Amino acid sequence: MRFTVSNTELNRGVQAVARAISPRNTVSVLTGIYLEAKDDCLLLRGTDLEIGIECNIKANIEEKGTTVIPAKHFSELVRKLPDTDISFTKEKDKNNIIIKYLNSELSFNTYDAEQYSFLPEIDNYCNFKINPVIFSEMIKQVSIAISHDDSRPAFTGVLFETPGDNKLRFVSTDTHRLTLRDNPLPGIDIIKPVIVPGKALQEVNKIIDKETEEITIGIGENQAIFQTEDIKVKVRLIDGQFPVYQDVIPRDFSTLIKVHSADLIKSLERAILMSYDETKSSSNVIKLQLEGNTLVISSQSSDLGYVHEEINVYSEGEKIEIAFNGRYLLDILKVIGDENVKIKLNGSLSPAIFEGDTDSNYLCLILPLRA
Amino acid sequence: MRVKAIIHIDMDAFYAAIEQRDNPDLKGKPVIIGADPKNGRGVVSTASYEARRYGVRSAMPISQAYRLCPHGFFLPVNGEKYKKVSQEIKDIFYKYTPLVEPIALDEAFLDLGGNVDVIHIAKEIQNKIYSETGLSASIGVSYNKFLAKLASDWKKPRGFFVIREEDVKKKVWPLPVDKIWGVGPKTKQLLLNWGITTIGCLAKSSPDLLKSKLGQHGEELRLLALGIDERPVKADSSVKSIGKETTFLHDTNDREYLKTVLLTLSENVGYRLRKNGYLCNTIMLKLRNSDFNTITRNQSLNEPTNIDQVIYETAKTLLIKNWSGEPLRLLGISTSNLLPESMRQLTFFNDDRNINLVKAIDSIRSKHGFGSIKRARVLQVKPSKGDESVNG
Repeated sequence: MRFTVSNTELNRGVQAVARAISPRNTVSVLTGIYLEAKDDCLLLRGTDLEIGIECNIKANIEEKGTTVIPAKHFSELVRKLPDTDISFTKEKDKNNIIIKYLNSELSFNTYDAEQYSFLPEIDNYCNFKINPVIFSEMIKQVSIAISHDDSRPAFTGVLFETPGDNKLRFVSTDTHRLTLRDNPLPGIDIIKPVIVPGKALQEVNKIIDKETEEITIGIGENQAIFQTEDIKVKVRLIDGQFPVYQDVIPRDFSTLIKVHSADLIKSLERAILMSYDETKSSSNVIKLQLEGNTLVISSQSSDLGYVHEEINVYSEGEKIEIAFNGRYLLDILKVIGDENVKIKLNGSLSPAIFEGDTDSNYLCLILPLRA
Repeated sequence: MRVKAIIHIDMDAFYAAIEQRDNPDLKGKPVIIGADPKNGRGVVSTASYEARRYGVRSAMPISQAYRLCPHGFFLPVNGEKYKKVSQEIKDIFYKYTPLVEPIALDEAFLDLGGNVDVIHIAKEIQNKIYSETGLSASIGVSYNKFLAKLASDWKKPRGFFVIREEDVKKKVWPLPVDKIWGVGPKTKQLLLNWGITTIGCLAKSSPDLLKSKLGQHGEELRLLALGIDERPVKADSSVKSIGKETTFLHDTNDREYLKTVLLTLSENVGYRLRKNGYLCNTIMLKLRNSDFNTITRNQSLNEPTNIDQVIYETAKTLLIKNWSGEPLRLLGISTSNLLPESMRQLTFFNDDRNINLVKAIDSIRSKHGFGSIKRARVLQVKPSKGDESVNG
């Protein structure tokens, strides 16, 4: 195999596919980047068999062929190569590849491409297209509630579903909070609800170019595909049952608070700071107390002292006293993207609903702490 | 040396007072909190002052209490509720000092440091407890823990008593020896045998005699009697780990037996975590083989716990991963990275069966003792000598 590629293109491709590779993979060939010189382009692949990333880059192909190069050192090397055209040559009977640039050359030992495996091809995809900026925002908003507890896999993913009305819905929950984000998508087909691994989704978010016009999402039996013009990310779906989340979303509320997000964020940051407990870790126990149009935010620590802050808010309904993990409150306020936030409550033992004041496409439920 | 100002706060008939506060029909009536008198087993946890007039006392068998006061109002222990009120009271303490050492739900020491206006502050705390919770407390003020505790007991309920250094001879010495914290019926009898009846007698006794008869404990008692007590008020934080280990009579590699032992250790550790109001973030397994080689392995948890089943499952996984199969002479579990369970995060989609189970078991054990209920699996384990550890 023989080809020449610009360093810029090569870097783009290698850094993208390297994200899917685990250097500690016990299958050694999977610690490498797969290269395939095709008729008119160079195909790169990386995978840990949970997520697989493919990238086509422009290259001048002289002779077709395939090989696998150890990813860790190769991607480091590519970063350090001079900004020029790089040429690759691999003889059929040799197991090394010669890389030439300017007046220099180096040789890399390779893995046998025959041994390489990748996520399988599936035809039966249900496709839809979405704007990458919106997609990225959706991922960001549901990521806060993805669980890291591998003993319950369904909670480590994001539920994709189409609840009707031409919209796409993402749901996540770590059992302490739940996020739900809808986005109108005219003409979208009804898809079977699937659970996409949260980690993979965050990788997808990092890789996709927000400048491209749209990204195509395909949902298959065991796989989801996220595709832009030259990058394709395949993700193995989580096999599990997502909980019946609809049951835990309260329909009514007895207290409504409207508060300026930035004010609340500042207060909470101070209150969290004062909640450090004797184990020197933050207990994050924050008390909220609503009395008329005053919201009191308070916390205390036996080591440090206490804080008591009052914010003016708009409110309706009953007065309330409730405690939360302050980190959870901050997480949601930072992704809600609205100047004012609505908090709907049903007493101190039921989940609180957080919504943007103007945007009804996103909601987050947070369960309180109980004494 | 800095002059210390230590106060001891003791709530008056705490559990009974809470029930009387919440149910006006019980005001002024004999209220007895504890086991169900119909079942005849178990003991009195707290008796209201009205019930005490009939001779009902804490720790008395419930059947006896019923005979003494058949028209009393017998109520079960509502631990959750009392814990909550206890926390409210603790919150008041923390407004005055970070040095708060809770002894039980109804009792705590506070170190007010070199504060000049200790008496004023102590009075304020007493008033604040009443105005914020509607409950009365007795407060003792002194310069060390022993005397502060003695003072709070001086004239309950609603007591307020100060013991100054110059008061020790006049006020403390005439008291009987068993007023000293740590003098139980057995020690009392021993002291009486030597003619030591009052705290004053004890203070004047020969240190050598006490030491020879009671060892180090004798010396400690003598110092207390002299009004000397250097024990510091330890803030809540003092406990860093709670653990239990057991050495086998014969080294064993019986996998099922080891698992069963892990279960009994987990139950012990879980019970003590809950009783002391802690959750743990880390679980450590300790193995020692016949050659006295010891290994310890940790596992951090995704979510802090004090549930026996979770501790057991984690320890079991550690055992399976780290045990070569050789005979063991010791097995231990220790929990660390403790945090107070004052607040519990509610969860969606979770099975609360394990939590409900331990709660039910705890309530039985708190009435009838730890051994009163057992998992079938642990019946094959004979009680062996185990070391409980609480490390600060």
